[in-house]
Amino acid sequence: MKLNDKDIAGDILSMCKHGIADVTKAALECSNPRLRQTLRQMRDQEEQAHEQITQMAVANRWYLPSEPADHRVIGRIENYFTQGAVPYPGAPGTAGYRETGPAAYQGGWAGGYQEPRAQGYHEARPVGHQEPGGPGYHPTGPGYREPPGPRL
Amino acid sequence: MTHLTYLELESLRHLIGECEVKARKLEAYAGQAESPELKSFCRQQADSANRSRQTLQNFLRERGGVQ
Repeated sequence: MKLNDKDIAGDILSMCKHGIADVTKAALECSNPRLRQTLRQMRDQEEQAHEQITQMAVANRWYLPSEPADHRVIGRIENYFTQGAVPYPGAPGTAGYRETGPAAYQGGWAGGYQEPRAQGYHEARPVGHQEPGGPGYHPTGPGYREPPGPRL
Repeated sequence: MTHLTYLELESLRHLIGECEVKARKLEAYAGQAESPELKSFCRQQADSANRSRQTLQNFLRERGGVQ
C-alpha cells in the first residue's frame, strides 16, 4: 500500500512526539553525565525536527492545527478554577463536595460553575477587546444585545 | 570511573531499537514522498537517526565510558 504525503507527515509527527518523550524520560533517569548530555542533545534535535515537520504539514494542509479557543469558553474554565469548586467527587452530599456560594450549580458535579450570562458571570476578554454594546456594556445589563452572527 | 546502570542499559536498548526502525521508515518514506521538501526532510532525518543510533551504540561499546 502506498502512503501519500499526508500519511507520511502524520506518522513523522507522531514519531517525533514519541521520540521526544522517550529520550526525555531516559535523560531524566540517567546518572551517567555523558549519556545524559547525549540524550539531551538528541531531544533538542528531535524538537527542531518536530517544529520543522509541523510547519511543513500545516503549510501543505496535511495537518489541521487546533483553533484558538473561544474567550467565553476560556472564561468558563477560569471561573471554575477561581471559584475553587471541587468537581470530583462532587455530587452534593458526597465527601469532597463544597458549596461555593449562591452561584453554585444545583445540578450536581460542577459546584460554582455558572452558565454564561447568569448573575455575576464575567467573561474573560482578551486585551483590547471591544464589547459589542460599547462603553458600559455588560452581558447581564439592559443594553445587552447579541453579537452579530457570522457572515454567510 | 563511569558505569552504565541497568536502567541506562535498558534505555539504550530501547532507544537504539527505536532509532533503527525510525531510520528505516524514513528511508522508505523518502522513496515514497511526492513533495520534494518532504523527501529531503525524510532523508535528513533518516541520516540523523542513523547517527544517533551510532552514538548510542558507542556507549555500549565503551561499557558506559570505561575504555
